Amino acid sequence: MKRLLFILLIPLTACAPWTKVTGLYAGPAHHYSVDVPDGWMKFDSDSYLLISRDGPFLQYIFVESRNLEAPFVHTRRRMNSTMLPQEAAEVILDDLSLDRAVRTLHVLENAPARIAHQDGFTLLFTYRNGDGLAVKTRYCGFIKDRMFYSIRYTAAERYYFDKDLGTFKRVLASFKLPD
Amino acid sequence: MKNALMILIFCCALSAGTGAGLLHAAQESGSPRDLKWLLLQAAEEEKALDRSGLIYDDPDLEHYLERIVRNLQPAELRGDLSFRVRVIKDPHLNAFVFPDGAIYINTGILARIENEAQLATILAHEMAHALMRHALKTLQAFEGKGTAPAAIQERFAKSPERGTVGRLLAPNGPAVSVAAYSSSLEQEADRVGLDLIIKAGYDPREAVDLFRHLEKESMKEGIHEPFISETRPSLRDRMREFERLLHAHRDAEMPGIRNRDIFLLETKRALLENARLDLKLGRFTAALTEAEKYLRISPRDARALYLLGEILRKRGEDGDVRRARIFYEKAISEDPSYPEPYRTLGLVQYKAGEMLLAGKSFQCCLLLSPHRPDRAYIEGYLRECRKREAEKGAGL
Repeated sequence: MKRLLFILLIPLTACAPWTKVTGLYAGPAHHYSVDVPDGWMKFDSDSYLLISRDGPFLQYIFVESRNLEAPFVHTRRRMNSTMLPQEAAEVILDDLSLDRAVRTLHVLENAPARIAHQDGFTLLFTYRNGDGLAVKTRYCGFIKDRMFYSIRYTAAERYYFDKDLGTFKRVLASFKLPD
Repeated sequence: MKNALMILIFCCALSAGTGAGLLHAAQESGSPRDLKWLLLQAAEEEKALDRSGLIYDDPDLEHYLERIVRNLQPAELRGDLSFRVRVIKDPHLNAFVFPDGAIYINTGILARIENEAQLATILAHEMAHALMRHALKTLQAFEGKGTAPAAIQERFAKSPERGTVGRLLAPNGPAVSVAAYSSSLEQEADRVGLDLIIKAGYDPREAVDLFRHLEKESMKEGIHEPFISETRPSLRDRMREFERLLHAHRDAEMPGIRNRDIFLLETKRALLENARLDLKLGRFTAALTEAEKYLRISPRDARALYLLGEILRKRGEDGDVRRARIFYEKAISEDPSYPEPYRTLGLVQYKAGEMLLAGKSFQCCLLLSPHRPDRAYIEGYLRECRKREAEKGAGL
């Protein structure tokens, strides 16, 4: 997870700055749209949107659309369009559990969920990152056609996670696929 | 600086007589200040590793490994270092030793080697690194150049295994040590290690077979392992060097201990654990080989039968799902109280549209394990099964 942030933030420090954004956000490739809360900063690309208020090492919301054929960082497993939401969640958990920066992973919840009117899954898990910080993540995802969509909220377990959980729920509720 | 320190603390290898004279020569070559510093760092890193959640907790297996190590350690060197062995849940081929004698070996190695003589070859090589104070020598070599951190990091950056090994323990982990030993130190560890296994009565020909076997294993799925990869020409050199050493050694042709059956019995739990890890990694062929190897030892183990079914279901090649069903059913017949195969059998039936059968399987699963974390999914499947059966009954 931290590696993901690191990879994302390297180009950030070099070129494009964090920018303030409010209201409806549609990614450059228009795979999805979400409402970004007031006061949050964004960093994005064709396939993902990263937003944070206090800095991504304390809390962030990450929205991603990826082709089903795209490889994961740690597992060689792939998703496919015939997978049930539970099977897609298994792939995510496999990839996560192989990440050496994710230590003492505990899955607190793994359940079906409706996201953007699609059948998907929701995961709630905690872990310690490479610095020993206790982190909590709510991870929601679903497969639609040849794409996997995910929206996740990660924050320091103590104080920050609960503080912005409501905001995440509003962002999640606003997540839409184009008609 | 932290990277450089770790490079020197961790002594990795899977690469191949010692005597008190050699050891004392090695000890004399290092300053006590450096040695003390290395040992302190090692203790800290071991603590971090033990708290990381990566350790495979199996006291019986650790006792077995420590018996081998005790057997390998010459009586005259028993007071110098206290060796102990811990197993890491990691499917990659790797092993390393700290300067204080703490050896860490991955489940990936245990799962892929064939007998105790091969295991002893790996352990003896690691012991040789510690006995010969290779970490200390490496530290001093870099200190002498006055550019320790930069030089080591540059060397690591050029290592072809960087990406693979880097997975071991995050970017700062023991990974970096792979590139830290010079080839002359690796050769010395090979030589000393070979001497240790011969003195302990193991069959030294297994040392060469070990590398051939691991190379073959890692090539199966194009796995670029830390030490076993065609991108490392030194591996072939080392095999040749082993063969040369064996020719030169007068006891090398003597038949020695292999202990295949004991080895398989003692390591079979780690074998199954590694099959699970390989499955997570998506290395289906490796996972399949390991699960089948386990089942040859314990053919009626319901958990292994279920795992074999899972490997096939998740691989999903032609005929895999059909075969997976057979293994789930076998697992159920061996242990009807084990809920997992009911769930996965239900999933396969559900996806095949066999709603009546799927409903029964899911019900059995929930009956056996009512508070399972994925209960909400299963209840959803059951609702859908009932709905579809009702529609069928109504002729819709």
